Amino acid sequence: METGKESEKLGLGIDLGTANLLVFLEKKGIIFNEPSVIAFDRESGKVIAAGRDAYKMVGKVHSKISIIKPLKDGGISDLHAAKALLTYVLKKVEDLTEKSLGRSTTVICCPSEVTKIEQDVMIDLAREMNMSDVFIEEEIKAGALGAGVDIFQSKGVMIVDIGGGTTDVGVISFGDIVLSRSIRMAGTYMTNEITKLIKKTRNVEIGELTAERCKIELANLNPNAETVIEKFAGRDMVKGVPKWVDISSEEVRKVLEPVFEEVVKLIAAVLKDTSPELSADIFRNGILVTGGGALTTGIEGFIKERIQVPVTVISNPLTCVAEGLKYLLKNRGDYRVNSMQM
Amino acid sequence: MSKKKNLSVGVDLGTSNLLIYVEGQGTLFNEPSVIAIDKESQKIISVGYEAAALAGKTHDKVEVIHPLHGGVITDTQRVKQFLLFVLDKILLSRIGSVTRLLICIPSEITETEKSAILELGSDLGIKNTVLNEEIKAAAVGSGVDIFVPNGHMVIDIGGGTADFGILSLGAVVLSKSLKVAGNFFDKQIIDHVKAVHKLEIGLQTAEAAKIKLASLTGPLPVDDGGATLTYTAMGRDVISGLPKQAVIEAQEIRTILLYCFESIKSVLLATLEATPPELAGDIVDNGILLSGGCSQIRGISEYFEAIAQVPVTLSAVPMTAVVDGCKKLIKLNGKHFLGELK
Repeated sequence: METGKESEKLGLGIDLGTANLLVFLEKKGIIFNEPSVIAFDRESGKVIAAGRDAYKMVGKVHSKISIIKPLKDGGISDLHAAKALLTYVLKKVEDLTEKSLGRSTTVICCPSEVTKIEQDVMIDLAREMNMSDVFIEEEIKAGALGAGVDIFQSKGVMIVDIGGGTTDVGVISFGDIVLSRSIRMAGTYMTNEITKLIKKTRNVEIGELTAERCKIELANLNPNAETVIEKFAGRDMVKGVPKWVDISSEEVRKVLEPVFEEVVKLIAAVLKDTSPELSADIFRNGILVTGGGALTTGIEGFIKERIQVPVTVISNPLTCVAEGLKYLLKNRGDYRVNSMQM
Repeated sequence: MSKKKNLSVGVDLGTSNLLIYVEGQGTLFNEPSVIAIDKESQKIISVGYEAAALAGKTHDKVEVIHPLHGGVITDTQRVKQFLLFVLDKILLSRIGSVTRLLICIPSEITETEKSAILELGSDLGIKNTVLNEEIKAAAVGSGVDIFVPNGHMVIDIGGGTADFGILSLGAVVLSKSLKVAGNFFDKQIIDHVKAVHKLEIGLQTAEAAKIKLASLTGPLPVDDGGATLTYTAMGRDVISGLPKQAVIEAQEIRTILLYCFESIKSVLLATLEATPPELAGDIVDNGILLSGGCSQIRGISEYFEAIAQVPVTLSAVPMTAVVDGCKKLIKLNGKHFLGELK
């Protein structure tokens, strides 16, 4: 055991996403990677479950349990629940209490275009948890680092992060973000679109978890792909009885396409504002796609066809942000210090 | 000195049958909810089978009472007397050592009825009295794991009420109740026989006819020789007043039951309609569990399958499911959740 004061300091990285919460602890790696959902007992106010266990309860609870998703569209919508979630996770996974958090350095990531108020809420959250030293970084920067891109060179890189609540597009060069934009249209929005589709065409209402499963299993943006048909269960809205419905990947593609078109529009808008020198770099190096949306089959082809630049989906789209936090913790986000070589 | 042991007792206070489970000793009482009292002294002469056999056959010094009606306590005083008598009989004056009482109740009873039942516990000198919904106990007693985020539907058609419930995470998500069940069917049979055969029959005869002939769908019940079953009912001719017998056909009973089941059907549909879609999806998979005395009617699962279009299973222990469930629920002591999920 080291006893020096410096070594006792904890380095903590938090990727508080709309869909998933990831916690990175220095020297340990990613200690938590589960959905950002928490379940409370209504009567006692105690936390019953968090993460995956709580996620399984979504849409299935009785009146004694309340399920809360503390984040909405990339921002914290329920500060109390967000704090409870983080406290529960830190306590359960690593036995980190308020006391040990007092001597920690924490980095929290947020989407690119969050308001000052939304950022302040993130800081408030950390303060309430007794974290003394907190700074906020943009997700795309961490994502690029986590993807293994050396952003400290004077070379332009474009990152597209399709998450749960927001889609962020940014250009990074020389260790920091040159410009970035985001829209509040991502995974959750797509899931809702699928629910709407099934309601409209089949008169069947499906739950959130089912819609999410439908999206993961059937999403394919390649128009020439073979049509896959899967069964999903829901409730017939006319008769009221439970019912199976057959959903084809073709239908899902048709509702997802407009959403991805919006993403492409955003990429185009960012590219338009990019200085010509960086444009040239991007043209050469291509676009990196991360986030849960990057797992959609055929996304490379879809973007490439419309933007005419090479597109790469990184190998760890779900964890890259948390992994990138490792580097940001080393240099506190300073662009002059190349943390990748430290 | 005898050891002072803390006993927990589970009670299924049904309209037709009273079942009592004593911790560590099993189900000690399973008899009809009927008492016979001496009118003069107001003392109980007999309970259960003995009392039921007296129904309709007593002289005016003895009164046979069904202290429960439609799943509710109509006569608190009598029910208390009844419970005390039975507990005294089976526990042999160890009633003082009962510390916990779990009483199962139908789903949609009013607060007044609830407090009447709760009072029962305190009147017996038992501090810890917990109420539990019958359908929850029925599901647990039939071996369904309700403590996971997975929706199950239970229909419990007993003597006084038909209960419908959706269970998930250890408690009832929604439930509906209807005062159409075994006793109601019996009364309909009596009315029918009176109108068609001009014959007045007793409750016991009507019940026997129902048990022998009841069917809802499929071929009519046949005897060993292949002939359709009939029941020879004996009673009093309405016109002449003389004893008489009449032959009741299985088809007649079916017509009566189908008429009664119309209202059960509409409540079932209303329950399914109010089910959250995610749970409706689970029910397509898990099906519906039937319990209670009336689940023994022939063709009942096919009947419900045709309405709800999901698989219907019969509880292996229709008569004792509720009290078997008490066994497990006593350990929970009214909590809806059994600690950690894993």
